[in-house]
Amino acid sequence: MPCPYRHPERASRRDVRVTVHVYDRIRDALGAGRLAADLPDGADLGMLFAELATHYDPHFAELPNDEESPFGVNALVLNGRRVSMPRDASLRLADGDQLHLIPPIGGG
Amino acid sequence: MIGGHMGRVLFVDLGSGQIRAEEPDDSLYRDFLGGYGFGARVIYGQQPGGVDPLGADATLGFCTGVLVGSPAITPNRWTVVGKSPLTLGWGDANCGGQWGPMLKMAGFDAVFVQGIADRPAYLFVQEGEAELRDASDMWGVDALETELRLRERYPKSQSAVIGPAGEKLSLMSGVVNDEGRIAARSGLGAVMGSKRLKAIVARGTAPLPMADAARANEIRRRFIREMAANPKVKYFTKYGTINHTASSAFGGDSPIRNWGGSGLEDFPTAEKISDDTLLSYEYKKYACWKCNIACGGHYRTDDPLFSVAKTHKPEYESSALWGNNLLNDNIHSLMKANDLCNRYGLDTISTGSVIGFAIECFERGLISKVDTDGIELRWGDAAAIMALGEKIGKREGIGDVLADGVMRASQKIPGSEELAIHVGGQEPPAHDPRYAPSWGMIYAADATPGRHTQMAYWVQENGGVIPGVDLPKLEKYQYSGKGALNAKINNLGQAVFSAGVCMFAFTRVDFSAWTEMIEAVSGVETSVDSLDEIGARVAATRQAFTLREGVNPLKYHIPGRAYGYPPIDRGPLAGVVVDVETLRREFYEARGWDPETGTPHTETLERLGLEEMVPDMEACRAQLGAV
Repeated sequence: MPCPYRHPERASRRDVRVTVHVYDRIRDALGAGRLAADLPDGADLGMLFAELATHYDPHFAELPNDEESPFGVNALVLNGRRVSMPRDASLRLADGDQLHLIPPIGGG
Repeated sequence: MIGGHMGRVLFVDLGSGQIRAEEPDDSLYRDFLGGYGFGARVIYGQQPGGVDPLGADATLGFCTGVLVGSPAITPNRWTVVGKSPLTLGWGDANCGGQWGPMLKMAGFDAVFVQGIADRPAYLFVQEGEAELRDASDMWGVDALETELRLRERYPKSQSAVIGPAGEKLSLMSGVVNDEGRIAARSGLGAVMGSKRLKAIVARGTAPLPMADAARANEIRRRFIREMAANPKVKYFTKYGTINHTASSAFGGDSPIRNWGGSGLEDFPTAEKISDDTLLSYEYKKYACWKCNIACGGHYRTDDPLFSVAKTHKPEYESSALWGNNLLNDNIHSLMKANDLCNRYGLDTISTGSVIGFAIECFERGLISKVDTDGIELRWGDAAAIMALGEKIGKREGIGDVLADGVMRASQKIPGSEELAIHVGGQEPPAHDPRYAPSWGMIYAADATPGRHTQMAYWVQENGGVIPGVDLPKLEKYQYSGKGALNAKINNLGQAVFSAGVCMFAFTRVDFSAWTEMIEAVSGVETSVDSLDEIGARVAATRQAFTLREGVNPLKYHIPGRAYGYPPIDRGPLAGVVVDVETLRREFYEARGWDPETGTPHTETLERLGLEEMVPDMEACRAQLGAV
């Protein structure tokens, strides 16, 4: 599902496109379950979240592990493997990477 | 008399037909808040250790707490309690809906039954009176139909019933009310079945005595206002637990492929059974008694293979165990599985688990079509999964082997032990210890093993909070330094859940909702500290019961797959090894329990007013060789 917020002009400067899968209240807030982020070659995980914060929602800069926040994130899964912020902020990204933002678990 | 209680408890001997009502001392209500803590104390006192849980001497209790029937937030949870035939230690399982409040309105806080009826019976409780009646015409009838018949016979009544699985003593069976809500865990439906007790019907109009009803009502109005403005509550009202079936599969929280897989690689289609896709089958919202959260819903599907006219929402646990864990993305089959389990009176967690076990046994050649009456068991084959579910409900063919859970099934299928995922005999819920280690700790440390509803630091490890209880944020995979936090959170949960409210409110409303309300309803001064102590008392009583039965939680079987022994090499849980020993040891130490034997120390029991248990625990310590 394409995200309605993605800026079309950014696609022409694409070096690395990362698909970010969001769930729960982030998905509801943004109206999409998939976000596309276009980054320059050599971009890392920290830059990805800066990009998401700039172009989608400033909450992406915080990544609160907190169910109270509408942008709560409990775990990050990059290409099937667990990563964490800020520990892995300098992890280099590649075109086609898939990142899942796993929300806090509020139910049984 | 302390408020919040009717002050009367029924004791029923099904063998002789004798029924007596007792008026427990106020101290018993005050010290345990009613509910399952009260039940544990009563049964510990009247039932000797070592009884056959399916025999005449076993006592089964149906308990409400101080807040059930009150103006509290979610004042409707009741608990079935007794010796678990599944784990052979303490067993309890709770349920919402309407039945608990109705039992109180019928005049009683709890019902304890022992003995075995000479023919199927039900207990009819009405306006302070009770009698046993013949249930022969309902034996063999499914749980939902039984409830409907009883409500037709007794308008405005509510019933707690067993289905055919309980009658056939399936150790995965529970007690059903509200046409499909089920107190499912611990296998206590089999205890009810062993007594030939088909149902307890309650009907009444008695008001709940409260110390300060006006204050209680004011507190309710205040917290309802606060919750109505909370987006987190609104979101939960919409989805309940089904919002994270897919994200739990992809993040590592949910079991995949009988706990051996990884969601993104093995079950990438999990979104087909999650969130709005499942929600689209909801045709009516549903709320338990006086619940302002109202997370429930009624569902239907006219799918040609799996049509269901009305079932409760297949919650996360059911969807994860019958969906993610079996690689089954047929959404219609999940609604059908929910209906199947509710009608037979089966635990959806255990039944989904044992089906995953059977599929893997089949895949590995440990069983074949000869054993399964021709069913070819394959991952994701919804028709085969449902056919096996039916056989389990009926105890027919391979279903008879599987109906008592994975531990006992593995004892009958050579070479399958490693595939049987259980903690101390209980199939764990759909939350992987490697995702939130304190969940793994409490599965392996509590008197009832394998339970996600026992509170611990897993709330915070999952990004949650207990509003109004200020606790530090520690790293998820930090193993040392969580003992006191786990003990405190668990104690608060034990107390509040004994009082009879819902876990989904516990994590969504300020804790003062409980302290203020218990004080207003009971008239007893209540604080976080006093609830901490009551919870410690409830936990110690349950633990003492389990130990006295000869079951030592320190010796629970722990399934290697779910704890990372050895660690998996792929997916988000790659490399995670849960240090359950450190977590459990520090938890026991913080509780004032001996970490070498699991027994509460003598001074702990004395501090909690449980001196009567000291000789039993000294004997257990001596037997366990660590005096």
